[in-house]
Parts: sequence; C-alpha cells; structure tokens
Amino acid sequence: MGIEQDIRDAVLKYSDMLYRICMVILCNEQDVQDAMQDTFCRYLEKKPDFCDREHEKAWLIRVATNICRDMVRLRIRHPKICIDELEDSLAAPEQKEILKELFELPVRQKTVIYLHYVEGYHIKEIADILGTTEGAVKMRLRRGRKQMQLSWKESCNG
Amino acid sequence: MNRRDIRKAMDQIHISAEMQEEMIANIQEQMLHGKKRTWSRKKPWGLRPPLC
Repeated sequence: MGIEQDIRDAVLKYSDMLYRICMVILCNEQDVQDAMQDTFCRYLEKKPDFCDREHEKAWLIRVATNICRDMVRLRIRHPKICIDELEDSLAAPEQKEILKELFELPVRQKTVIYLHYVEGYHIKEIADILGTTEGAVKMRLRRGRKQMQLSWKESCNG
Repeated sequence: MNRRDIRKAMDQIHISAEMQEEMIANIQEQMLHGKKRTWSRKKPWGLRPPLC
C-alpha cells in the first residue's frame, strides 16, 4: 500500500510540471508519457534525500530533461505533434503561435527558455540543473529569444 | 512577445486525468513487478548512417 500511495502522490504532485517541460522538448504525447514514467520510476527507486521542495523539483527537472535529451538524440520515433491537436482550448490564436515558435526551437534553447520564463529559474539555477555554465545558459537564452522574436515578426508580417 | 505571453501560453497546457491514471498504473506495474520499460535506447535501423 505504501509504494502505491507514494506513486500516486508523486504523480499528482509533479506530473503537470513535468508534462509541460517534456512536451516542450519532445513535442509528442506518447514520448512524453514514456519520459515521465521513466523519471518517476527513477525518483521512486532512488528516493534521494532532498533539502527542500525546490531541491526535489530541480532534481526531477534535471532527470526529465536528461531522459528527453537522450530520446531526442537516439531516435525520433514519433512525428511532432500539431499545435492545433495539442490544445483546442487555447484562448487566443497568438498563444498557439507562441507555442509553435517555442516548440520549433532547438532542444537546448527551448529548455532554457522554458525554465527561465515559465518556471522562473535564474540563470545560475538553470546552469546547476542542466549541468552547464552560466555563460552557456545566457547564450542559449539570447539565441532562443532572438529566434522567437524573428519568427514572431515574420508571422505577423506574413 | 514577452515572458508573460510565453508563461500564459504554457499555462494552458495540462496533463489529462486519463493520462495521469494510466501513468500511475504503468509505474505501479513497473515498480511492483519489474516490468520492462516501454521504450528502448536501441537505435532504429532506419536512422543508422550509410556504410559507405
């Protein structure tokens, strides 16, 4: 009974957050489900000691992004999802456009943009989570932002 | 487009209750019975580089 409750608690607590980040990287619901399952299994198998909730969240994000990155690197099994199919309830067309531009970015750039703009992490924290330098994070953020602005302008003009 | 726009767009995305329940069942199966993971790291044949 204990492990079953642990599984349910972990999934209910973190699945929404992990779903978003995995979807940003993988753009495919089936792959997202696989990546999330793997992340939760590692979490439950290892049961690491966390200082606080932020530490626990950062650990899960790091594991999930590593798993997603491996999946992207080793194979592209499923076609990318169409934004129209992802969420019919998106209120405004510009939100679909933003998601489309975000999903189209290279994995490294969109991961950093997601963590900074959506999860609200600082540059240093993102560098720690992703195991890279602050300079690299700043560069990815700058390039990703530039690319999104460029696509945004193109879609507005076109 | 700014931070708020991106956040607002991402906030619209949620995991479905069905997917959550399916995931809980799959993880229970895997944790309790050691069932093999649903994806393998083997590179598919189609993506191998040509020999020449």
